[in-house]
Amino acid sequence: MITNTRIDPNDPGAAAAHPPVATKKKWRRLLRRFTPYFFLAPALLIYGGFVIYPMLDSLMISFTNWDGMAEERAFVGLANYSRIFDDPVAILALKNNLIWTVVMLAVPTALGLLLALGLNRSFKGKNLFRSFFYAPAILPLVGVAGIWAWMFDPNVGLINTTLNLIGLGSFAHQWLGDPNTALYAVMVAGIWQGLGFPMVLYLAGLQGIPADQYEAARIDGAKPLKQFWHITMPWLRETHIIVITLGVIASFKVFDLIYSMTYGGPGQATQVLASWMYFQTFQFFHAGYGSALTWLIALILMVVTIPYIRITSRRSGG
Amino acid sequence: MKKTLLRITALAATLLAAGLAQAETKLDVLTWFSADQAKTFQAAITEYEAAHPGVKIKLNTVAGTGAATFPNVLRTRIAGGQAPDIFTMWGGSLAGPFVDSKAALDLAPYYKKYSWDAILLPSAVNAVKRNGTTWGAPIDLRAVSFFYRKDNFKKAGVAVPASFAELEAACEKLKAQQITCVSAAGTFGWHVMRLFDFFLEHTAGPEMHDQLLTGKTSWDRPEVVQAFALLKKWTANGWLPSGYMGISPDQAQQLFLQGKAAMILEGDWFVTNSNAAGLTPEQYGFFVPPTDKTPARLEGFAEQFMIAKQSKNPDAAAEFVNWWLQPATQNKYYSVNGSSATKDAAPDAAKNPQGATYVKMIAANPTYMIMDQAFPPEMMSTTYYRLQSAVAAGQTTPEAAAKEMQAGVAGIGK
Amino acid sequence: MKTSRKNARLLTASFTVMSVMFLIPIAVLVMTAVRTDADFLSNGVFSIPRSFNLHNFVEAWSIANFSTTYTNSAMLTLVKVPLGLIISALAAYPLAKMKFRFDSAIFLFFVAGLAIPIHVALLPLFVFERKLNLLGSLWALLLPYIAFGIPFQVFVLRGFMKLIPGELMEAARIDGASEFRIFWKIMLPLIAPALATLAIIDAVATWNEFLMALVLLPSAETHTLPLGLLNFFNQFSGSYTLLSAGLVIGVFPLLVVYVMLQRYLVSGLTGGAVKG
Repeated sequence: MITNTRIDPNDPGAAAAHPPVATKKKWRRLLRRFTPYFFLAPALLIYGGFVIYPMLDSLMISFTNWDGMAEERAFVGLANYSRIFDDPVAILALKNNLIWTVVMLAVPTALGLLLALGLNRSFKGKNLFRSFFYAPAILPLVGVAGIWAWMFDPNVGLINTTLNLIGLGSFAHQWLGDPNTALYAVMVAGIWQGLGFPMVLYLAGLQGIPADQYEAARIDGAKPLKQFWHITMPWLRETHIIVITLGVIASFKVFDLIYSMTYGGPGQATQVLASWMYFQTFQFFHAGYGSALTWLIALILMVVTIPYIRITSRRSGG
Repeated sequence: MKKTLLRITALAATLLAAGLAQAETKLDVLTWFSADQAKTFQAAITEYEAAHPGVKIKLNTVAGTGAATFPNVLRTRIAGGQAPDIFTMWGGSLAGPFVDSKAALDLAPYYKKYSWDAILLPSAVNAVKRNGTTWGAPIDLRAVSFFYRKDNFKKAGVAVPASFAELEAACEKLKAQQITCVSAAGTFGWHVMRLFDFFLEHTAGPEMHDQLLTGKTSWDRPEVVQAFALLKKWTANGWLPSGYMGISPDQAQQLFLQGKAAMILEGDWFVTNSNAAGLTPEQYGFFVPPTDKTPARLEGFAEQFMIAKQSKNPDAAAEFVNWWLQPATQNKYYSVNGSSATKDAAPDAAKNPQGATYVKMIAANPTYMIMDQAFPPEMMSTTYYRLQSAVAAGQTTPEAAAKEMQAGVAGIGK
Repeated sequence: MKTSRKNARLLTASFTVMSVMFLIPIAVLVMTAVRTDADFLSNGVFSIPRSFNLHNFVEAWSIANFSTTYTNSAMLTLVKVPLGLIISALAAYPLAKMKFRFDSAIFLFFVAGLAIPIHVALLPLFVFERKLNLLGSLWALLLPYIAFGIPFQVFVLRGFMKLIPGELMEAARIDGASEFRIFWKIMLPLIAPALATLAIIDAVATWNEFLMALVLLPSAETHTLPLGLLNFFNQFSGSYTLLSAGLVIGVFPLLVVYVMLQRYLVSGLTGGAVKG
């Protein structure tokens, strides 16, 4: 259905069809060949200097025992990396990241899609509703964490108070104080703040589906559910890739919300890799170990997301 | 001939003096002051600059809660070669990383030059020493005590407890009135830690407590087990807020200020909070925690000014610090910190009676070091706070906790 | 897409209910912003306000140094967002529409940047910028912000660009248009919804970015809005009413931007571009 025509500046056929008559043509072909790089240059330079270079610097640091401040640092090889396997908190953090990923992939994505489908129809007030559901994404995390910490307050919080009011008081719980429920409580805040994002992306994706597709299907007598699976979902493939990939990446990098709501506690129950890295680097002054943890996050993500992108890109005619 | 020589000398002297006056000494100060505090401190700086022409001081602040944001900025500046000349720092082990990485200057020569030992409270100076060396000058001394709601006490028919047993009895009476006995908060760990420190002072006594805090005696002992057992007992008895391990210090303070709890372990700063919430001296007070031991000690900690090793003007920096520490300056600008390490400095008793009373209480009682300044943050996080949490949740026994605590203390620096 | 009147009313009703529930936390925030501290502290968060105090906004404005931080954040955002988007779109275009030797390698190179948590860059960036003498000005943040925004934007834009059929570009090429002209006049307008969406996301991220600003902007005159919000807290407690007022003030321009750009999303440009 989708055709992507490609320019092939290296196509020998083109040269044969138009034999070079003047140098102008040669220059033009040279320009053609380097055109992609002209387009890419600003991004490559800035990205290389301000992301890749610091990242490589941190790789160097991960092979040392630097504390982040002193003049000297000693080379320790892979000691920081092997330490990860002996560190019970790091293992727990990894497990928490996995739980977080599964939940945050399933729930906000599904909810975001449902909302986008609903909001893509025309009815009164839909623009206003779009803003409402995206609004939490605009708040600084200080605000989100503070609001939800109050919501979950075991004594005066809205959740327990409401449960008590409607007679379900037995379900009232110390959500953030119980190591078993703390992470899930933070996830609720994360879903609240996060579902606006896939919603907006799906809305943009839905805009790209030509209306005549649905016209044709309706004429053929296809029910709405069939239309959804056979028209909507395939057309949203690129959007799916984006939403899911970004979801996985954000889940492994999650930090601010957990740090602000539970500080990694109770105990170390809600530590995730990014927060544990932060503690190690900025509070315990183990910049070397912290950098190793950072690279663990980066490696996991690269291993998981890059093959996925490559495969699905190729499948969609990429 | 003599006259010409004199004239030339005079001219040279004038030029020299003019040259010196134009050579500016720039000082950079990094603090954690809030907006209000910074405003007042800036006024002090302006006064100092007026009295010391040629000195320009730039004030930078990193306001915000906790021991996380401020060290981050400070650390980055030090590592980047742009250390501030003077910076605020907590005492004890929290200053450890900065001392150990040789970022701070040994201030012993300045202590001698300005006779700081004479004007500063000894317990404050001790609180900022590390391995016997004074790496900073204390700018305040804070102590924690039991704040209590007089109205709640009256309602439950309870008087200010004079012994530990009376305190526990009071908790039972308050509980019968559906009032939380002591409000505490588990997030971050350090708020509940104050309670544990109090239990430990009670079970172990001053000498042993100090030895425990310096690692000179093992934590695997009955007194420590009893302290953990008290934590477990208070949780089980409902004398602490339900779900307290998951609430933050702000929320715990709320419970007290709203009258839902009867007591809370807070320090001198809490006088300001209580006044701001509209509480009157008829409604709240404070008392020394009853440890049943002599001397009755308060849990305390100090904060300090440190001078960076990278500083290009250490003498000028020390000169400013000295001026700041003088009783006259401290009294005039007391509201910057709300507390002082200088002898004879106190808030205005007419404007702030509760504050003045609190300072008298601090001066009248010796202090013991707060645990999170005795041990490095990493050990606190991976050992103590974890155990505190586990004991409260019933996931580990007091006996096991004491053993693991000892393992943690013994493992420091390894 | 036509919706029956019954369905339209159903949708409005259900969305109203959902929105109300969904927005309760924000309602609490706004409520808190207009209360006095004494009322808030003595009656608790969820009580009905017994005071109405717009003075919080005035006080919050000066405490958080909003006049400075608003200007700084606004300048930074107004420059960064369009500039960053153009740079990313320029990079995404060849990756989506051209075939050349390193195209997949470069694409993966950019995408790898998504895996990188921002904290790791803090110290190296500080040292690097100090060497380049960029510190001390607000613009110390510009290039790092653009740099960290590139992976995500390139990733998303490439996806949307691939959906645009190649015939349009081929036609223009045959007419003799330069590649840049094609990019500017044909491609960009066609992916406008994606650009608008990314602009919103980017504006929010830039406006609220905290950690890098904290580390790279040492002096108060250059502070951005999140740093100004820190002023509401001293070491031991915070003023929640003032903080709430500050958050409301801080969030307002983002809401305006969103409402403006959201109308643009609605106009649905790509709907009729290509048939079947």
